[in-house]
Amino acid sequence: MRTWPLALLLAACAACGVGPSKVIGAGEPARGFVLGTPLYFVRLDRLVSISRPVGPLEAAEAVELLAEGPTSKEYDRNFDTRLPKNMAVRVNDDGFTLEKSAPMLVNGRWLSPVSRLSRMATGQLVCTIAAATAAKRGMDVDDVRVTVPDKRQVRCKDFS
Amino acid sequence: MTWLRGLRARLVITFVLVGGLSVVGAAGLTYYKAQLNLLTGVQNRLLKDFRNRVLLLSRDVALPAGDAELALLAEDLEVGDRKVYVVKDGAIPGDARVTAELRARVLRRPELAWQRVTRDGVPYLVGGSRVMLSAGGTPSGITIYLVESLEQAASDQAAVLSAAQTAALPAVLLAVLAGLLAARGVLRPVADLDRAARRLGEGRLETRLPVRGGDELARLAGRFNETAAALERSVGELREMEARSRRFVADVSHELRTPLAAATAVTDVLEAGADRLDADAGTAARLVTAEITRLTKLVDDLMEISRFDAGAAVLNLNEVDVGPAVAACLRSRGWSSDVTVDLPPDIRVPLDPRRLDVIVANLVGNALRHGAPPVTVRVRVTGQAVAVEVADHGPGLPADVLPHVFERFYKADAARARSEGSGLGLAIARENALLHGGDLTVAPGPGAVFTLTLPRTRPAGKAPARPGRRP
Repeated sequence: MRTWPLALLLAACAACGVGPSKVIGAGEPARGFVLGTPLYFVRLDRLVSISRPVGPLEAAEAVELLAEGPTSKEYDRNFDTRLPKNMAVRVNDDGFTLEKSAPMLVNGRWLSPVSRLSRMATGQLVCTIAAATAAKRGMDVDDVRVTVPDKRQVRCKDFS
Repeated sequence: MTWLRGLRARLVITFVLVGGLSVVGAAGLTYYKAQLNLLTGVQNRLLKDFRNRVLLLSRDVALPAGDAELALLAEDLEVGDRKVYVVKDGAIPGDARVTAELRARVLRRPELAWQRVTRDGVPYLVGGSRVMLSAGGTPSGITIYLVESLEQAASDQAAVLSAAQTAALPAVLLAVLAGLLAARGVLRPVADLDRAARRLGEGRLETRLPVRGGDELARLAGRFNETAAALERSVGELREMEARSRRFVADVSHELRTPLAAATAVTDVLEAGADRLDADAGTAARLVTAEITRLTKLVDDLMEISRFDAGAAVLNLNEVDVGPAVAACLRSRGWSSDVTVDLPPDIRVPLDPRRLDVIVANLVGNALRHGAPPVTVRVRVTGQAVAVEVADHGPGLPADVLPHVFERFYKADAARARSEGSGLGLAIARENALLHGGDLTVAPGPGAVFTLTLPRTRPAGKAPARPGRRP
């Protein structure tokens, strides 16, 4: 009879304050993110991927997006592209080729498409295609080989 | 610690215990519930908010995302003191508050998990979840952790606790007050009862208690009154009967005196002429004379003791020198030569010389008759009293007889049914001693030692009507 008030008091004191606890589940996981299509732009002279919240797109569609250049938001974050405007790219199953077809209207001027790309620009195309292919086939980006216009097969990491 | 056993202390302690426990219990429960609600509420709100913000802000983040995007998202998710880590599944955020335990749980199960941790005395809520894609619900490969301080909730709780404590003190004080009031209500009748019982014990049988209310204590008071009334009635009856019997003895003694006086006169004549009678008639005459003398003495003693019983004994006090008074007593009975005396002079005591004579004569007479010589009489001064000690060197009195020697008609030797005395001598001697405000006691010595003590000062006021009479 003498012990239970003491026990109560002890229990009351033990409950004082906010103490540590074990790990407790709170149901439903957090949800978020969208699967996007990674595009490769240049930032501080390095190839950097950025995902667009669309897709996942086919390699050809991804290259179309890439050719359009960074959005203004991306531009604000110093994303840039080295792809020339007067570029005609054909994406096939394992790579891309440059087309030497009719002149293109760029900024109100007619220009013939470029026949050569800078190393950075090639990297942008290779990596974007590799990423799209990798997403589609469930592979790692660096395992995808892409055939560039001079028939060589390169990997994205060759450009990093 | 005896006061702890008192009714008042016990009642107060009980009240404080009950009151205190109720308060502590209620406050504890309130606090516990408040803590639960407060903390649970805060935590739930934080986790829900976290979930919403993740859903809202990561909608614009397309996967696969680079570390820069993830860092940007984490920055967006951080509001106030909240710290957010957006990492790839399995990566370890550089924060000790995100425990390995939590990380393991987050990886193991597709749900939002949380844990409370304490760092530097500050409680934190740490939550974590692998993020599922909003479309499809498959794992996105990203895990988000949040670390949020619960300091505010803790201080809210401390406020609740201090409020409970603040409430507890007056409640306990109230319990003490209530206990004291209840104790007073119970204790007053108990104290009355105690006083009344004591008065009853002192012999004031007319004591009654006021009966207030109808509770158990009132019933007890009523019962007490009934008992006291019954006791008063029985004691009254007993006293009445005793008085009647005493009166009867007094009346009988008185009535016997007249015929005895006549008989004494006749036997005096008979004894005077006994020598002239023939042998048998002479013996008979002497026998009758002796018996009449004894009867006269018995009747005298009976009348004397009746006077004591009736409270009619009168004390004629004089300043008397005890030594010469005792010597005169012995001399008048011709015992001076048989008794060794030690009588210091000049011990003056207020006493009734006739009654001292009766006492000393009785004691010395007994010693000479039943004890063995030498019989000694000593007078001593002891403090505020004078002691007259009469001792003999006989076999003394058996221990079982000692308490009864002053009883009326008590015979130490049952076989000696007819002794020379009336059987009232020691009783009368003791009544005389008590009448003086003194006492007469007996102790075993070499023989029997009777000690008469007399106060050296006059007994205060009137001598009690019936000394030695127990109520």
